[in-house]
Amino acid sequence: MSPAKPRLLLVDDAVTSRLALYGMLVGRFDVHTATDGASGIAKAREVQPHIILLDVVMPVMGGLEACRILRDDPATAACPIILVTSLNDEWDIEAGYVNGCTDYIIKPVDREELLAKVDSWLAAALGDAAS
Amino acid sequence: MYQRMLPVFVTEAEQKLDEVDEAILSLAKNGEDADARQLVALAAHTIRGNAAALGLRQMVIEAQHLELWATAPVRTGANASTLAHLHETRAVLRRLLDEVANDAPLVLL
Repeated sequence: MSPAKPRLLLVDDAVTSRLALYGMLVGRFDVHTATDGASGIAKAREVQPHIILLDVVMPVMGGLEACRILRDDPATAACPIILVTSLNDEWDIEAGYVNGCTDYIIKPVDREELLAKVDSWLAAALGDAAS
Repeated sequence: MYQRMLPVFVTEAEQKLDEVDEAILSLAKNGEDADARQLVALAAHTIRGNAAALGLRQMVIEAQHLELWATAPVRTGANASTLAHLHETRAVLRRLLDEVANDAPLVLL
């Protein structure tokens, strides 16, 4: 029996973007999806993902607020959160880290960069959990 | 991936442009309508991000015009000149999308 795939939560309101990212990830991860920050938080509490990919500009609740809430919740505080967004100026990136993101990827997403960062943060998180 | 994503992109962009149309109508009635401005910002942001993923550079530029207007930190209300500019940018986006759509059958989202 093959080991279970790591659980990954993908939060993005844009269908096109969500499908493109899903296609890059689905073979290697158990991918769960949500379409805004509020439903992303609820899904994170439900499935306890090993890593979260979070868009920033979304309706209902944006990614920065969601990131802050996830960081303040003991159930998700240690989960790596990568912001995946087309906001690309230095203020946006700084705001991401101020609000608790672990890493930042600018759209359009390069598949190799995405997988490398996800693998790297997953290894760190799973290593921490094991020690 | 481009060919596979194109129909999804076209369908979603059509929906977002409809939202922009709706917001422009609201702004024509009330130039200070913050909800309408936010609708433009969200729709334009989605179009820009998706178009960038597919390498549709001119659509990225036009969508960014809308997004920058809608998210500018110092704003004045949408006056006649602004509305004309929004209409024009929206029309360019619609034309560009029609060109793309000629290569892509629509899908239900």
